[in-house]
Amino acid sequence: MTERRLRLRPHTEADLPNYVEWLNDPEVTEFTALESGGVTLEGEREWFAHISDPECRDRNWAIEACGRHIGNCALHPDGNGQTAGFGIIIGDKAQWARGYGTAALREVLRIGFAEMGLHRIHLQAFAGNARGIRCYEKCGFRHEGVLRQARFKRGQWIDIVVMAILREEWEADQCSNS
Amino acid sequence: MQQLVTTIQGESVLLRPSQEGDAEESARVWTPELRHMYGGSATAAGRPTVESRRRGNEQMAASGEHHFAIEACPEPAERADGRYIGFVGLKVNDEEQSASYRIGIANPEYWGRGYGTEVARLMLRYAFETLGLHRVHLKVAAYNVRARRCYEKSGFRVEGVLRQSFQVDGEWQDDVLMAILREEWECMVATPISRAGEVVIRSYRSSDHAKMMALWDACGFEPGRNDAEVILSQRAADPRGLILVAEQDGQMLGTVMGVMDRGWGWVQRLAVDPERRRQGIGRSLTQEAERRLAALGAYRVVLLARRDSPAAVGLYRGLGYETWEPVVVMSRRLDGEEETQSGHQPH
Repeated sequence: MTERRLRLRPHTEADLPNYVEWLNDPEVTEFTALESGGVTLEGEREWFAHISDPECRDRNWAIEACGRHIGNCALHPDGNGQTAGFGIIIGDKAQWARGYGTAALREVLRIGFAEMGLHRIHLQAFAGNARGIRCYEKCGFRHEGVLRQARFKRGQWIDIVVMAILREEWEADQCSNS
Repeated sequence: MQQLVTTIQGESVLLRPSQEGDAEESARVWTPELRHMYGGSATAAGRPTVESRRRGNEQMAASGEHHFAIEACPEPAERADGRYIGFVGLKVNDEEQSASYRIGIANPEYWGRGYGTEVARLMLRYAFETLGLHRVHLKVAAYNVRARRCYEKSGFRVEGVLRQSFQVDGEWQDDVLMAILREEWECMVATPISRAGEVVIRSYRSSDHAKMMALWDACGFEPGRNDAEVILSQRAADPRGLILVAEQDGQMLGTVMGVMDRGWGWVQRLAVDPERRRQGIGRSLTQEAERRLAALGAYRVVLLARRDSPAAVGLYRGLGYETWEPVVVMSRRLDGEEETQSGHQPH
């Protein structure tokens, strides 16, 4: 049901003020490499220009729920063109824990495997990001490893969990779900 | 972070800056198996040209990584005449205080002979002691079993396996992620496994500083300008220098320093807790310093001892040291201070 209310669409310039607000919120960026503060509209415009450049191979989407912009997600293809990294942020805190992240990720997996023909999609998550990791597990990602004390944030060393899903695993999930 | 040292001398390798002739040598010894070890085809035609190797070397040097050419010199006598066998690099991420490690031994004659392990140990020492990093990590093709064994021997631990993360000759292959943390490295190199009551001799680490200053104080050493924690840590990390600590159940009993000057190894500032003298601690420290200086290429050890300290002179005579007649110790004060009656402290 949630999935019907959710849509991925290209970014517009009008989305940028939302990112400035969200990415300066320490709660939103708690499990990201971003330090809170310092994100400016000018910086976001540069980012928008970068992702709009035809040379940019990243696929970025704004996440919309019931017509409302709530976050963003992206696939970053690796140099080989057959594998890609995934990243997501739900910036609108009122929309957390409603299944939108999971729905968005399912749609990204469909695009990545069925449309782009990828072989493997991988991601990194802060070990303390239990909600995120549960979402990735639900979508079929498997744990591949833990990078110990790989980041330093807010005075602490952070372990990074590495997860991935292979095309064959995604295809098997589609069969069992239908 | 800038490159702090330009050469690192090991027992059978020398790490030095890239130089003229390295590209020719690496193109000459290249084999397809080398390409395969880095995730490339095992069978494809084509080999690198000198020009492409030169460009590769230039890119590596310009990438901001701490980069060294590896020269093999299996015998100390060959040191002046080493042979280029590959490269090694650490790409540092300042924010995370970590670095990724990469090494390439291009010459197949030098595979499987322990060079990779020795280079890894030297580079980990450089990473943790000289650069003060927190973590060193790497990615290796799962089928490159020889490299994985070498990294494990050097102290890296497996952190994960990236399943089917790249393709070689049409087959999907796994990558293995490995890393070593500073604390693991310190445990590995600096603390031999000690039983209760056993006296162990190990390398100095920065956390020893306060105890070492207290010990020197108890031994009557004058405070020196160069005794700050950071300077001593650099000294301990300098491949030509060493600082050793004798310890029992966590208590510091003695310390000694050493430094290489060409073929001479200087033994300096031997200090033993006044309450624990005449128990062989000074002797063990001096012998360990000699062993390590010899490993760095010393053919002679030299030290200064106080004429008015029969205990010190006796200790060294017992180890085979003799007054060296051709040498006169000469000295002059530069700070304009009066000479005290006791003279300089032997440093």
